[in-house]
Amino acid sequence: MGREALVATFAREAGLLAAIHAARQSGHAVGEVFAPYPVHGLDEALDAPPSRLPWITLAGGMAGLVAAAVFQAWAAVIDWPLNVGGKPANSALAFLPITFEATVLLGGLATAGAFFWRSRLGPRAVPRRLAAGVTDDVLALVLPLGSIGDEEALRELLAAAGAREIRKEVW
Amino acid sequence: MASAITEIPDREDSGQSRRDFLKLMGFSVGAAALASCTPIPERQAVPLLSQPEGLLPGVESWYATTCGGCPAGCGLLAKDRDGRPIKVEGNPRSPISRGATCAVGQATVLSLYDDQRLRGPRLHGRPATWEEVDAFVDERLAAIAARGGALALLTGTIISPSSRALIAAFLHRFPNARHVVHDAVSLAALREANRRSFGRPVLPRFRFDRARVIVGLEADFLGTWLSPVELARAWADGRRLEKPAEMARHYQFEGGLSLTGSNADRRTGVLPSQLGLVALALLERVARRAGTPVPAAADLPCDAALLDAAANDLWRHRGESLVVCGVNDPAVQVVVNRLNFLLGNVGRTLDLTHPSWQRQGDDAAVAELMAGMERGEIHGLLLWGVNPAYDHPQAERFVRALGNVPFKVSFAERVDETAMHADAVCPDHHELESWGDAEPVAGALSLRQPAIAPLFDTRAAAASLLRWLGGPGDVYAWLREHWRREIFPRQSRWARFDDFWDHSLQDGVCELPAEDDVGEEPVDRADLQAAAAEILASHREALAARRESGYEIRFYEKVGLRDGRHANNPWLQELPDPVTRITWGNYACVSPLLAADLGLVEGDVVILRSGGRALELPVHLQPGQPRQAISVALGYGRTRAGKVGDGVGGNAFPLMPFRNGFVRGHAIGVRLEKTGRREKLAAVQLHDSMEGRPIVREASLDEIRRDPAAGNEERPPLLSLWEERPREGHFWGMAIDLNACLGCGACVVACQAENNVAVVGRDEVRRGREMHWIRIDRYHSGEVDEPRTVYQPMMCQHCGNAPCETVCPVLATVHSSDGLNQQVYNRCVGTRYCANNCPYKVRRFNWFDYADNDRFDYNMNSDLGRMVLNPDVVVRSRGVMEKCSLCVQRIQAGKLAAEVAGSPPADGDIRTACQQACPSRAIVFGDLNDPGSEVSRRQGSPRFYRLLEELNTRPVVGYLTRVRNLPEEEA
Amino acid sequence: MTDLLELRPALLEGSPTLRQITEEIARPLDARPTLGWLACFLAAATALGLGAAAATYEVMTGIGTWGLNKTVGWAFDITNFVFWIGIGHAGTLISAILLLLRQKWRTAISRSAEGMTIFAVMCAGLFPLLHMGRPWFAFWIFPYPNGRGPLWVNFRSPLLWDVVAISTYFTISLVFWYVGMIPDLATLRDRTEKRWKRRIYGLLSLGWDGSRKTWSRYETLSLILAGLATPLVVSVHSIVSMDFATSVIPGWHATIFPPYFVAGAVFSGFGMVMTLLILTRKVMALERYITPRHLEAMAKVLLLTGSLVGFCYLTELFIAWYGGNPFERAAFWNRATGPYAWAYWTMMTCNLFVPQLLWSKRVRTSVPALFVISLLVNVGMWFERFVIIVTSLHRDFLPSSWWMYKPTVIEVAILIGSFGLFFTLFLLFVRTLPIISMWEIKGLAAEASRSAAEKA
Repeated sequence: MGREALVATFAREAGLLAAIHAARQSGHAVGEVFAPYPVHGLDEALDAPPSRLPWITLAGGMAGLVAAAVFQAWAAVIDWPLNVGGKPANSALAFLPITFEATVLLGGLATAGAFFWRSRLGPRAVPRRLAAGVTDDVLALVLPLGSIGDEEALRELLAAAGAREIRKEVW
Repeated sequence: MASAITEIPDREDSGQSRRDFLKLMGFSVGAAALASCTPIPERQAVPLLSQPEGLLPGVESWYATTCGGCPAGCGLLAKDRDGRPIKVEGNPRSPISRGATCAVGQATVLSLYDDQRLRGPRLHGRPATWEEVDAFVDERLAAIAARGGALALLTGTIISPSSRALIAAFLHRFPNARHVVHDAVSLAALREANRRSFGRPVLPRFRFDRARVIVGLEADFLGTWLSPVELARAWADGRRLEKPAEMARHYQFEGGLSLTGSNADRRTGVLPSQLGLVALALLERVARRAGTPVPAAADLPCDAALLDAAANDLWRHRGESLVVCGVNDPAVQVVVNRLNFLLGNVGRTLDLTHPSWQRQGDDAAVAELMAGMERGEIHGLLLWGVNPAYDHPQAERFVRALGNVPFKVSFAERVDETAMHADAVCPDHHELESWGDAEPVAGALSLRQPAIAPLFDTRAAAASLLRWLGGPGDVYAWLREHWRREIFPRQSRWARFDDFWDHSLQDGVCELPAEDDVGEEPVDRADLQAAAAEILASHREALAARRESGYEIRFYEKVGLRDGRHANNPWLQELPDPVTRITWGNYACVSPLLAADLGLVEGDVVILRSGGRALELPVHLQPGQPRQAISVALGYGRTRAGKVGDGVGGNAFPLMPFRNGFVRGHAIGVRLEKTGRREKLAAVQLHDSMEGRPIVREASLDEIRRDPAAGNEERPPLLSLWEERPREGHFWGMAIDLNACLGCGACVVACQAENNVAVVGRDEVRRGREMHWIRIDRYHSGEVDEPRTVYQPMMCQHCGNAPCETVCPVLATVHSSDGLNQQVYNRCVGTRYCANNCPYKVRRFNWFDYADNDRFDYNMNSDLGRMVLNPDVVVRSRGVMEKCSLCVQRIQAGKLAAEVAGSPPADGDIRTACQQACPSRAIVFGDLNDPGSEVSRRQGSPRFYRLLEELNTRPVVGYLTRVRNLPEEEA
Repeated sequence: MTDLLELRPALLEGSPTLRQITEEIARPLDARPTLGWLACFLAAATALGLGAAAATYEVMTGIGTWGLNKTVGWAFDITNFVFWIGIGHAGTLISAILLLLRQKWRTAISRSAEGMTIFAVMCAGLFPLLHMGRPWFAFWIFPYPNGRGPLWVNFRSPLLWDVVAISTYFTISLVFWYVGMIPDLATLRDRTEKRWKRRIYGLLSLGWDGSRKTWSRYETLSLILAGLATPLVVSVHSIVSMDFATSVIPGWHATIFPPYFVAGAVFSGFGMVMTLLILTRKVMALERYITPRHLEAMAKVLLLTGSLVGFCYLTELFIAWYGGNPFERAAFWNRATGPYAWAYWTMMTCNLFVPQLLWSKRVRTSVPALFVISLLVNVGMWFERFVIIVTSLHRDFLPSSWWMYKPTVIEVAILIGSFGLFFTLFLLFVRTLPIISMWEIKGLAAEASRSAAEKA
């Protein structure tokens, strides 16, 4: 979204958090944060909503459970009932282990799939490189320049927070 | 539907069985063409069950014939599929077999397809044409006749009347010829004793079914002696526990644990050299009661109380008791004759008026012939059905003597130890290829007709003789003519000979009315003093020999290999000996007590030295073996039997002593040396004890009389988590009477033949991988020197709640609606989980490809051998599990037949192979949903139990308790 | 984390900067392989080749090339299978359960433990395949529509449960492992010079850019996967134990098996992790990240699970006696005194007695001692499975069928081969992927410095 933004890089997460705090104080929206590790308390600082992945897990798990249970029962009771060890065609107890495993399998795969999809991760995906070293030891903060925003104030704010370098990028 | 799955030829991978089957069809269609083009089966043979018009492919036809496995002469039915015999079964009309067979009989069909058989005649060690051979023989015979040279015809026991007539004709044509009969294991002494005692040099017909008390001395009449199938059936009939619970009591005194002894109610081990003393001791006791003076026995060979008990029982059942002795020493037999005479058994349980011809060997005559040969007095020798170069105690001497005989002809079907020295070998047909007849017991005749045209360029021995007598060599004509002249007049049922002939041929047997010239009851005139003196003399001799730390060897036959003539038959080699449970080879059975003293363990190889001869054998620790006696089986150590039989075990014949005219069944003064080597025996069972588990349930007759459920008290309560499945239609089941089962192993070979069970060979058996679908577990209990032995046939129990079915991931074993536990070979992936989870361990896994694999060069590795395969049963491929199917193919066939007939199959219409073969009728199969069926009756018996019932596997196969009729003081 | 201060020095020696962490962990991947590594790899690859040859021969010729017989239908094959599955449990346990328990010390070892899990499960998976009489029809155990009806499979068979459980376990573990590596792969992508390496890491890192949104979803995903893997890890070995527990064979038919097997699995798994880490930290010079503190923590787990296992052994014996089932009694008496007693007592010694040494701090903190103990634990756990399988089978209900089992060279070769496969994969892993989770260590370091700041 070809808008201009200031990209500030930090060496320590304290500075980053301070900068975010200050920016939000002064009514600036925070575009994105890049970090080599999950920064503790970042979501809280941005009061971002919690991920909805658990619902996908639930859905996938349910699907697996129902599919496994129904298929086993259908195959063993309706499609081709056989006398196996004198047990009843519907040996429901014996069908539990597979049902459980299917639940876990589909739950897990669905969640992972959803994660990749939502985060646009894939073999072809091209990483956004707004600052070098964000996968190594650099924390980067992206502040989009709003119409009303005056760049100087922002730069000072970031510098005050201890930004190493501040560049203007398009993103 | 499910059972249909098992019928599908293996689609996924058994190109195996399909390819085999096609090849085999190819070959057999050839054979079928022969069989049907050549007039023999078409015009002259009359199938018993199906109409004679031609062969229907895939439809079996049955030919009544006579077994050639041994001279017992059991009537057989040969089952033909597409022109080739694939199975033999007992002929129910035969008074000898009464529908059953022994293991050997079952296996004869495989010998037919033995690819070591000669493909044609041989002259001077090279293949030749019959013309050349005939020319040679004619010329030589003429020459010999011209200068009055001496001819000898050395044959085995010949029970065929027409052949005996033929031999008579031959002797007539060559006046200076003689006929000598040689039996590897002879009963000559018994015939001699009957001559001395009753003036009749014959074998009596033993009627065990009429005997209430039986005392056996060494004679293994249930396993190998004289006529096992006939005698076993009679013995079992005398012990059936029909109401009122009555059964004969059986004592056995023997030099080693035999099949018969292990089935006796009271069995004791006696040194072989002391069996005579046992006879004397019994005679003394009986005579005392009879009030006739007899010479007293020296010292007692065994517990006096036991002898008293036996004598008491014998005396109490005068006229319905029987003493039978297998010692080949006329002195002992004379004493036994006197016993039976004093007990009034002669003419009742001992029939001398309808004698048995089942053994005619004359040891003395053979020895005499040998001497003649050595002196060069024999100018021509014809060998028919004998192999003295292997099975005569003085084989080397015989071979040397052969050198002095300028002209030797053998009728052997292979170049065996004797035939290799013959100028001409004129291979005889296999009995399933030939015409013939038999009169094993006076008045009981049976016919032999070919079930297939000769596979090779062979010729019936009789045909050869006929040809050399100048005739056309047509055995059929000779046979028919003989029956017209000799047999037909002796019967009254049929007016026209053709009817008589056709019916006899169709039935396979005909019983002639007893001759009237029975004459007066025979009276015992033997010189008992002399006999007793002889016995005591040889006893003192044995005593002296033992004092010089000598041992005794007892020679015995195994139910499988018998005298060794079938050594090249893999089914018999792999048949476990019922008592030792060891296959593939013989061994020296020593008492565990002796082994402990000598520091011997199972498998230690020892050298036995006797009379200048030595034999190297591994040791087997055998409970019940007298301390100073060693049992060694005959019939092994062949050198010219073929690729299967050669070099298996050691030949014990040379160690048999020849004493005043008779080959002794035991040797004395034997030395035993250790070699330090060890050889693993190919046993199929390593553990002898039941560990106190109620596996074979036992009770004494008295207990049974008091409470029919005695010994069978354990009845665990069976709960179910779900409601039982309904039992509609048929519900197959089986009941096995452990009181009837002898453990003889006929069922094992029958099953092998019926179900294409693979032979795996010695090494694989050693690894515990034999494939038999039915096995006969044998357990010992009690004292090491006086073990109590029980047998238990064990096959798939077809559990209603089958542990194997539940665990198979691919549904390769499931349950049929009629109660069968089915193994679906073409579905199996071979996890072996089912076998692990089987409490009865009856499942067998195909560790290798057993068909078409040079590592297993047995019958399934050649087109010829594969002709014996049953096309109704898939040949299993490598990596699949297999097991007893209760002969599902027979069940299906039976149901089909019933459907065609429009009536449900009657009880007994469908019989499994094991049930069919069983000489003692121990196994009964049938429909449990039919309350009237025999199997339902048996399963209703208070003696009935299911094995490991507490596991709640709900088997449809079950057992009836074993009952011992113990002597009073022990009961 | 209250214990963080107490843990910090032990969990991370010195206070490396984020750059240092990246460098020290990623450096070995660029450096030429050390001689030590090459030697190990050669040995492992040779073992693998040997095993492959033996397995090929077996498949071509038949199961008869093994020492099995009519009575003992399973031995080395299933023993190895259960053994490797057991090994495969520590990884997930460490990364999942310890993650949920917020055990910080796991960070340094979780990656390698997870890798170990994957490889162990691969080894385990071989044996059900190889032990089949007709492995080329192995696919028949999957319920796919077929021309035989379709004939489905037997959902009542524990063997089928096994297949499903293990493939599920393998899949989830693989996802968990891979997802956990994505940020580090991105790090490698951005620092490596070689173009082809960058291409590969680029593909594998799926365009990871470390944005805040992704991170927060990412942490949720890790938690969820951990939450799923935890019951999974318990279920898998419970199901494996049902192969035996649901049978009728005395010595197999035991309700105690599921917990017993899970405890055993964790035990053996930690044993193997310990062995590997002690080697790795030496060979890869990672003493700073894998500290004695880690080893001691694992030693405590070993002590706990070892005692659990031992408790199960004793319970089994007690119940065999107390239950009064004659077959059961015979089976256990035979274990302790029969022809395979030597195996039983090996198991008892290695699994019950030896771990008791870990009560002593001196032993827990002595790396050589721990190494020896961890090896003994592996041996002991292999024998546990051998004892359960072989001694139960070789003498069951009917004495007529009692038989002995003796392995053949083929079986031994295949066992060696499975170790070869395992170590080959592990050695390749330590050469190509970061065996310590850089981003987690960084998080740990940041947290440490933060709390240090708070203290100041």
